[in-house]
Amino acid sequence: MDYLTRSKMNVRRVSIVAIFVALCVATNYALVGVPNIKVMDFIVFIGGFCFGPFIGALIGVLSWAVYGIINPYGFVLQVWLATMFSESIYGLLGGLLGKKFALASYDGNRLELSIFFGTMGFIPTLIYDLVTNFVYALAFGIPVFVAILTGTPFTILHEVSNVAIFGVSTVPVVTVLEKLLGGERVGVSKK
Amino acid sequence: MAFLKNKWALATLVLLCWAIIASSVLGYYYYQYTDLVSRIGGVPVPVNLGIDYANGTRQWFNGTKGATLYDSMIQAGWDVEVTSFGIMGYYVNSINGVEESTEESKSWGWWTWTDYGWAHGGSACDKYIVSTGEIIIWYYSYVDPTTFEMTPPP
Repeated sequence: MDYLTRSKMNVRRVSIVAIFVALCVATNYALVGVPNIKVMDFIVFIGGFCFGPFIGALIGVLSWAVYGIINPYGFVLQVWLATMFSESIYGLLGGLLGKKFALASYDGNRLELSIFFGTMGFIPTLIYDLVTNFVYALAFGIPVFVAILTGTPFTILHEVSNVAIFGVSTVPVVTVLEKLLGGERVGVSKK
Repeated sequence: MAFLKNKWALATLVLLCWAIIASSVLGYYYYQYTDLVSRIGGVPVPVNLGIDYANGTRQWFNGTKGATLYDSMIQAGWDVEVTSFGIMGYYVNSINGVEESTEESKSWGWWTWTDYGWAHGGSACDKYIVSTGEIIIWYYSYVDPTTFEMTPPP
């Protein structure tokens, strides 16, 4: 029991990962009719931001591990592996930013923070889309640049929607989670 | 957090995102355009095509159809000899048996009619997509050996 509380993956954290993964899968299904607009990326990012890069990456990998197998658009092994590991980028970035912002106050910087988090939603989305398009091209034997160029409308939709979601929601969601969970950002309370 | 106080850093981040999106859109539409042109091979449209041998002879082939200027020249029944420079396109060496001449410093160039007079064509004839009713003339021009400037048609 003592081991469980000291461990990086104590019961509380395992529960948090399970809840975040369930949220990711549920929201992905809820938005299945809207291609490339997902709340999942944001949830993974927030998981990393509040509980560290390891937990964030784990939420990303496990979410796609579950959703990828029961994906209504079909299952392709290479694409599944690529999405699993690309999704973890959101958690890793969230974790790194969470450490950076652990002791920072959000008051008086809301606009700047929204712009900043909006762009932080853009960068991992760009990497995610490039990696998945690259693997998709290899899996189906089509030229990489054709896959990237023909996928552009979907990529842009994904990027713009993530900029909006990350920009608008990060600060309020982190603030609420801190209140609910007692300021557990990377185990450091700013209070 | 000091980073957030720097408005230029934030503006740079936003501009970077915008530049990536704009470049992606550019790449997408360029790909769609080239793909469409390669699949349908262009749409032939009627143009007013002329040729001036710079010896007082000027002939017009009005309503000649073609997707590119080179297409129109072939459709007009001209005997055209070209050298291909790959993606740069064709360089016209001779039309209807009149070859370019290094001794006389004369070569073929094409010109399009605008509100301000004749304007020199900016690309190879096989790369130029013609517009309906466009007036284009091939002129056997004198080329200035120092400036390489071509004499426009009269």
